[in-house]
Parts: sequence; C-alpha cells; structure tokens
Amino acid sequence: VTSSDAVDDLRLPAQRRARSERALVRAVARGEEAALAELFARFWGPAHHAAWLIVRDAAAAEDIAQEAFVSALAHLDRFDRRRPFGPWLHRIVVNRAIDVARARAARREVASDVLPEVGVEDARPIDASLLAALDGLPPEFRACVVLRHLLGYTPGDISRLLDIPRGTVNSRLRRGLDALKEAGVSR
Amino acid sequence: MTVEDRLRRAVPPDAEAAHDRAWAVVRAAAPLRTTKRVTTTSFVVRSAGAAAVAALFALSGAGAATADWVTDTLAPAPKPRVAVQLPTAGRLLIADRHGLAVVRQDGTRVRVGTADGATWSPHGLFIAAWKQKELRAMEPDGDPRWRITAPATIRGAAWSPDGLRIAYIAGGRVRIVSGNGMNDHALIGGAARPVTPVWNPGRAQELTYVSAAGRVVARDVGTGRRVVAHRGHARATTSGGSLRIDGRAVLTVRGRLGRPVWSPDGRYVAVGRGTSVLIVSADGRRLSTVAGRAAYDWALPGS
Repeated sequence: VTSSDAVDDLRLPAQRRARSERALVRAVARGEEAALAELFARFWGPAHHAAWLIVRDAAAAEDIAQEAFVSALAHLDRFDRRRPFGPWLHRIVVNRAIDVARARAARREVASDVLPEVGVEDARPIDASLLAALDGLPPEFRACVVLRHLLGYTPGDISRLLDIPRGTVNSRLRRGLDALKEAGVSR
Repeated sequence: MTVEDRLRRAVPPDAEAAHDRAWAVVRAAAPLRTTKRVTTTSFVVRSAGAAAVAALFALSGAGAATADWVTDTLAPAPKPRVAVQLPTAGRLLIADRHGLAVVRQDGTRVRVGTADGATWSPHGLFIAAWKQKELRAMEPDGDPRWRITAPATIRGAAWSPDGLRIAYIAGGRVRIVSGNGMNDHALIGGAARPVTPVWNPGRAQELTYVSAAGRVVARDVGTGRRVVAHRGHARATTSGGSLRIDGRAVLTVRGRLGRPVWSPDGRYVAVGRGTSVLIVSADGRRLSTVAGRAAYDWALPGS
C-alpha cells in the first residue's frame, strides 16, 4: 500500500461523512438538541483524545476540548456549513493545545525543583513507551504526529491547519516517527 | 501494532467522566448562540468572495481539499469563547458548579477538580485544595504535586507568606505541613475551632487562629510559643489615664489617654497621651514614645 493509497482510504469515509455533517450542523444551528448530541458524540472523543496526547495533562485536555467545542458552537453563524465541521474544530483544539503545552513546559522549569511530585495515582494500564516518546517531542511535533496518525490528516492538510510550510510538517513528522521508532513504538 | 493503533488505544484518563462533564457544559452553552443567523448582507458578500476565489482555484486546478481550506479562511476559526474578563492582571480561584476553577484574566477557566476549599501559594505557583480529609497541592493547571490525608475532616487552610508551610484545621487542632507535603504535624497547644487560620503577613512563623476556648491566639509555629492573645481590638480600652487589655489595667499614667489602636499583628497598642503617642506592648510595657497628638490607624507592613 503506497502512501497515496492510504490517503485515499482516509479521505473517502471523511467525504461521505461530510455530507451528513452538513445536515447535522444545520440542525444544531436550528437549535435541535438531538443533532447537537450526535455532533458531540461524533467529535468530542477525537478532539479530547488529540488534546490529551499533545498537552499530556488530563484536566488541561478536557478544558481545551470543551472550550473549543463551546467556541465552535458559539460561532456557527460564521462557519461555512458546506464544509466539514471536524477540521474546523481540530484546528482550534490543536492550536490551543500547543499553546498550553508550551506554557506548561515553561512553568515546570521553575517549579519542579521546589516541590517533588508525590502521590500521583493512575491505576489504569498505560502505553508508557508511547507516552514517554511523545513527551520527549516538542508540542508542535506532537501535534503533527497526532494530526497525521490519530486524526488521519494529510501533510498538506496539516500544513494549512497549523499555518506552517509543508516541508516543516514533513520534517516534524519524520522526526516524530524517528523518536517513536527509537522508543520501539513503530517499526 | 502500528503507531495509529497505539495512539488510538492511548486514551485520556477519566475519559468517560470528562465526556459527561463536557456534554453538560456544551448542552447548556449551545442554545445561547445557535439561533443566530447570518445577515443577508454578510452572506451575499461572503458568498461572492467564496465564489470568486473558488473559481480561481478551479482554473488553477487545485484540489478539492484546498478549496475547503480557502473557505475556512473566509470563515475563520473562532478564538476560544471569552467569558467575563477580570478587570486586572492575575488569576482568580473560584468554586463554580463544576468544582474548583482558575479564572484567567481573559475570563477562560481551567478546572482543577473538586474541593471543599482552596488557597493560593503566596506567589501563585501552586494551589492548596482540601476535600474532606485530603489536602493536596497542585499547579494552577491542576497538575498534582502532592497530597496527604489528615486525621479528620479539614476545616480550612492557609499557605504561609514565605511559602514554606501550610496551616490547616482538622480534628479540633491546628496542623502544620511543609510546602512540599512533608512533616505534617499538630501544632503544640493548637486546640482550635473550625475557623481558617491566618498567617501574620510580616512574620512568616506567626499563625493566628481561634482557640478551642474562642480566643484569638497568635503562636510561633516554629517554637510553639504563644505570642499574644486577645479577643480583638475592642478589648483594649482606656479610662482616664488607665489602659486596660482584657479588663486588666496594664498601664496607668497621669493625664488622659486617647483611643487605643492595635498593631496589625496584635502585639502592640498605640495610644495618644497629650502631645505624644505611646507604643505599649500587649503586656503593658511602655516601649517608645512618638511625637503626635493621637494614633488613628496602623497600616499593614509594606502598605
């Protein structure tokens, strides 16, 4: 399977889905709660998931995804309803997550020596090697990896979504995958 | 397993609860805006612009995906919703219907869990929050740093001005824990009522609390030494040339004494006498005399 085949595989279901997305968005704009529930059910999970993988903090990720959703709904009148809703939402989520991750990294440099972390509990099994490899990447690189390999965007889409050159996207994806390979996450 | 598979399986912790909380917020927020419609004028202008640019791309042969993003540019992604903005710099710690939240200056909120109460560290680097018997410290984004379990329900806590200690009330006692969550212990002689203690802003080791007998007590938390005890400024009274504290005459002079004024730390009283102001310790020792007819107020340190 070539990379272009993979891209087509990702695009076809997205295009089919876009048609019903338009109907959903129109219904939400009319104030139909059932449509809102369906739109939320469809888009909350990926948005929250992507935010968490980029910002790597559960509370912040929830806040980011929630703010993005509320913000998108509040501006539905400015949204071109012929377009898919997902990229619009993901653009807000990912850019906000990058900002928050940068801010947290700056604060942590000051605080970590003052107060040691004690008693953090999370009993769920986690993919420690994957998360450690992601943590080792700058937030902008994490964002590219998440957009490409979790949300299925093409490098061209990511370039437009993050407003950065396509070459930069490719180099970030390459470096991200190299880091994941070194950590044994990908072959 | 592919990278895609592993990313899909690495789900956020507490995802189901986060989903429920977010749905409640989104459902509540949606009706506020969803009935707004695009005005005819803006729709026409925007449609004309979109049609013109779409025609350009059709001529250039650019793909459908690119056209999607051109339209996105005409209808830009919104910035995060701006709530009620704070009138000044800083962050406000509040409890709302979803729990504890830090309100940024732009009005956006970062939820940091649920709590019965919370307080900032002196420089705003950390938050101490308590819920039932648990006291925890976290960063302002909710990232946990440490937590301890108190012997009884916590009734209030305060972070010392130097950031080195947190005083809290639990089980009828004042307890002290270091700012890094270590060395949790009961303050000697610190039987207390469930009222949030207060640190002396000028003396980081001095803590004021309400004793089990209902008296306001200031105590050095390092030595356990009681600094001063009184029931408030009203307990210092003058009558003629006599100054009384808690009804006990601590100073008698010739002439007439003016209105007594307590220092903010409750250690001293300033009282006018003729053309001077006497500074008297709480036990009645005359410490100094300042030129002036009367003492009106005593400002906090640094003010």
